Amino acid sequence: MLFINPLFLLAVAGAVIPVIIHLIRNKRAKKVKFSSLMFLKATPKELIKRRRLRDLILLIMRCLIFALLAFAFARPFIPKEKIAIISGERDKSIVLLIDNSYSLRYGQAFGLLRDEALKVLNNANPADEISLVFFSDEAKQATGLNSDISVHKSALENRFKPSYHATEYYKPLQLAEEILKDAKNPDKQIIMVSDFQNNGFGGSFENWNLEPGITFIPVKISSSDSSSKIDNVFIRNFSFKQRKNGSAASSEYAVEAAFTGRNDIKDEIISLSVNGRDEGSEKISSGFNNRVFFQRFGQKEGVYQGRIKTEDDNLNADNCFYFTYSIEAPPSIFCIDGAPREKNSNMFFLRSAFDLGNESIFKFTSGRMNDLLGSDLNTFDLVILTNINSVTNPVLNTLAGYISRGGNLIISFGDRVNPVKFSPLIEKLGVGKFNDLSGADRPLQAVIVGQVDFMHPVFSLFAESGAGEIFRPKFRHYLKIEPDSTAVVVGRYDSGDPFLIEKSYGKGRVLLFTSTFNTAWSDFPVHDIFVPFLYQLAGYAVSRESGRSSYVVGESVRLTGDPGEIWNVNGPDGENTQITIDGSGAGLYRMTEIPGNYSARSGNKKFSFSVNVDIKESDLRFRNTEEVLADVFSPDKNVRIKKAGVAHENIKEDEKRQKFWLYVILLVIFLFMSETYFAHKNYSRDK
Amino acid sequence: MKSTISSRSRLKFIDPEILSRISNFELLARTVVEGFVSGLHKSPYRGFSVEFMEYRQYAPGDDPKRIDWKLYGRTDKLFVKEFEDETNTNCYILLDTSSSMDYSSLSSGKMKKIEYASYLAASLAYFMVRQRDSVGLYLFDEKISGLIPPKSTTGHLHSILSILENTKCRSETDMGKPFHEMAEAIKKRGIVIIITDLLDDGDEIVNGLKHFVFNGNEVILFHILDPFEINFNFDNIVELEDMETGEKMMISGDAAKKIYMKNSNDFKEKIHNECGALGIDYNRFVTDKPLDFALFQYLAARARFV
Repeated sequence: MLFINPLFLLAVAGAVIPVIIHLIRNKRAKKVKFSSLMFLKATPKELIKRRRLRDLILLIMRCLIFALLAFAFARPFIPKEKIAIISGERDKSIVLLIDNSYSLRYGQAFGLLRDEALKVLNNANPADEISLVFFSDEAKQATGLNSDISVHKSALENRFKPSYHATEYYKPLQLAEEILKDAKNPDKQIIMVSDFQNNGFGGSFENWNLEPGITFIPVKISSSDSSSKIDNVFIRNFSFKQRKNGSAASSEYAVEAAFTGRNDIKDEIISLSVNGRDEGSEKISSGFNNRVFFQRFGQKEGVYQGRIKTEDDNLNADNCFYFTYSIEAPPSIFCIDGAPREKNSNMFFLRSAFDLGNESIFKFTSGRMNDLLGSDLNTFDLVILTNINSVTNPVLNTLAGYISRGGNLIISFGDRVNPVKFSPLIEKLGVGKFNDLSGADRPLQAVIVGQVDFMHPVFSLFAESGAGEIFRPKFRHYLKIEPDSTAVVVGRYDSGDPFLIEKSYGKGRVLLFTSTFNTAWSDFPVHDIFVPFLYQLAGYAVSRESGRSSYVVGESVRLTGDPGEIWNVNGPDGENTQITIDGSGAGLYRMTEIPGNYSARSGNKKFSFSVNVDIKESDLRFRNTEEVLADVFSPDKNVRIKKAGVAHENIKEDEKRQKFWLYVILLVIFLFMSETYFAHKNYSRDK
Repeated sequence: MKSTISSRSRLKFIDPEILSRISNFELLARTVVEGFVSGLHKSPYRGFSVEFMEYRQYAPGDDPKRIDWKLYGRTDKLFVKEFEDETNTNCYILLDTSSSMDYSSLSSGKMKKIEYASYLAASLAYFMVRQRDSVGLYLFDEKISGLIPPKSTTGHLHSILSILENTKCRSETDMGKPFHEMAEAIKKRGIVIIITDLLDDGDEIVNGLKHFVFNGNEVILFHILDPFEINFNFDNIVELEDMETGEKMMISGDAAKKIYMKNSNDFKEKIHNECGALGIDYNRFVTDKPLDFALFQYLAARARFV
């Protein structure tokens, strides 16, 4: 049995105290000296016993009156699970969605959430079937629909742990709908236990509503609503800039911290550590002073991994930002232009893009075709042939040998290209062959890039931010290439002809760009995306992907290599995982559950990266249950809505329905009348 | 002769509680007696005596007529003559000093029965001496514990008052034996005034009284009671302790009252009837009631005796 107002039960103890005193007093009969007992016969013991028994019964009745009054005020009730069968409630099929995103690491929120989930399990009727789903930005079914509460409790106890993921509410609701399609009971419920963080409600809800016939019960465990914020400090932004001076480099770290809740924080300590060494700290405050800079000089070539950390607060999951960067000798490019002295030659545009002096991340060298035979190509990471008329056999062989040993080649065309004489190169390297050997002097209708593989490293950087830009340049000319079956077409014009073809050759790769790097055949070089494209192309060609050493918790990390190659990846918790490269030359590492710095190794190859939490989860604003219900339900659909706090609401409803207090009060009245009657009767008898 | 309330009401009575504040017994006795006398309709009896018995030194308060001036002429000292009055009555005051007389309940203003009885005895003795009667005092419990033969002198009165002032209760009650002894000890018949709470075997009491009556004495019986011995107002279960025997008894107040009241009333009725049959004046005195009415009873008995 449970009570709405259990504090009233203390009054029961209070009722006993005067009774105890009364009993103690009664034990000692008053002693009186009297002149003579000659006129007294001893009162029969039976009479005394009878009198005492009578007094005791009256005493018990009076005690009961007090105790039952306190009991009635405590508002007792029997939990629903005990009387479900008697009351004839319908059996339910319930999907219990439990949030384990990292916002619940705040203070005691996770413990509270687990307790609420446990309450839901405890309040279920014996015949209810339940399924547990743990969700954050992904939803996983932990237990299938069944009535064995011990299974669910075991999962809740042993497998439910806070994650470092952000929140997304659409996926778990969809999954719950799917699970309930197999429900055997007519009464279907989705109970969601969460803090209902504002950022978890994305655009997916705009075109979706919960199916009719399902009861949705939000159980909110945070006391905040959308109008108030909870104090939290996290790293909102981190950027790194490297300046080179010869072989030495200086690194500049810019850190921006965000303060939510309070706006009067002053001198919060931000500390920097790089490669395990403490590099100092700065102070940061809310408002205009929420940015700090660290500068470190004289860093030599190598991979650096570090951490920016704020002071501990109630949510430590977002107090660290991990980063990885490398200082290396810049990749060297050997560029050969068939017409380097032409105005606005390809060389001009390529040099402009790559040769930036001290700012260059590539070492750019230009040469002539004859230099290919005289130079040690192995010292170059990349050779670019642009607008070459023809390729002699020695050059062909030299290039083939260079590439097969791991070198990389980018080919682009121009007016000087003689398809007939150039064709042996692309055919030998297995890229493809010219569809039209007639040359480039036949004007073609202007085309644009119509299709690219945004998953390819060359274009992955443009997947979100520059997705539309790649489709803007107009190409007046290109050479039609029929790609080899083993080659990969990374991009096509809207005419369907290849724009960019990739072919692995030996240990190296060839990238064929079917137009020019100058404005002779297109306006590509005048678009903003041209230089980033060149850098992505060159970076990919030399196997140095730019901008992808940072990942978010839960993201998959793409590792590349030869098919069958094995990468050993070490996480920040010391776990080692092996990833095997598949036939496509890639393998995915998915174990990015913990923020921190990771390192991967395959033979002599090393790859380091950092994983951080998604900071949108750090913005601790929440929705109240009315807002949640508005997101989930459309007002014109026939759905049943229940208020939040199912455990607490059920308690009050159970008690109101049972009305134990009323029967107890009636019993008290009966006892009171009986006590009055018997006490008066005894008094009269004594008189 | 039975006392009646109507005759008492015509007199001014002195509250025993007020008397209890008078520490001097003689003063107390005089207060009672003079208060009584001042209210009397009839003149007090005067004794007439012819036979000179003895001289004694004059004490303040003595009647100046009794001063022997001839002796004064010879000795320069004042002496009074003491006469034995052949028609003066011998009065014997028998006072119960058993332990039960030491009882008092709160309702009587804490006046014990023995105190009340002592005031009563003192007042009677004072009155008797004032009447030129001889008064003697016998103290008894289970035996005679004190004896002063009757005399009518002032000095004798002082002795009696002194004994009364220092009376202590002790022992149990056994009236039969001392009554018979006292009856035999009284050579000259007179008025026997018994002041007691009568907490003894009824037959023994009656037999003893008979002995006094058969010897030609006029007997007045003053039955002294505490108000609680009449009402017996114990509420709950109490443990009573007998003041004479030390016996303890647990009683239920409500149930015991009925039994007590029946038994005590039966006893009192019995004694009353026996006294009536013997011609003994039976008077019940409760310790919260004025005691000077006892003096009436004395006068009435004297009248019958004389």
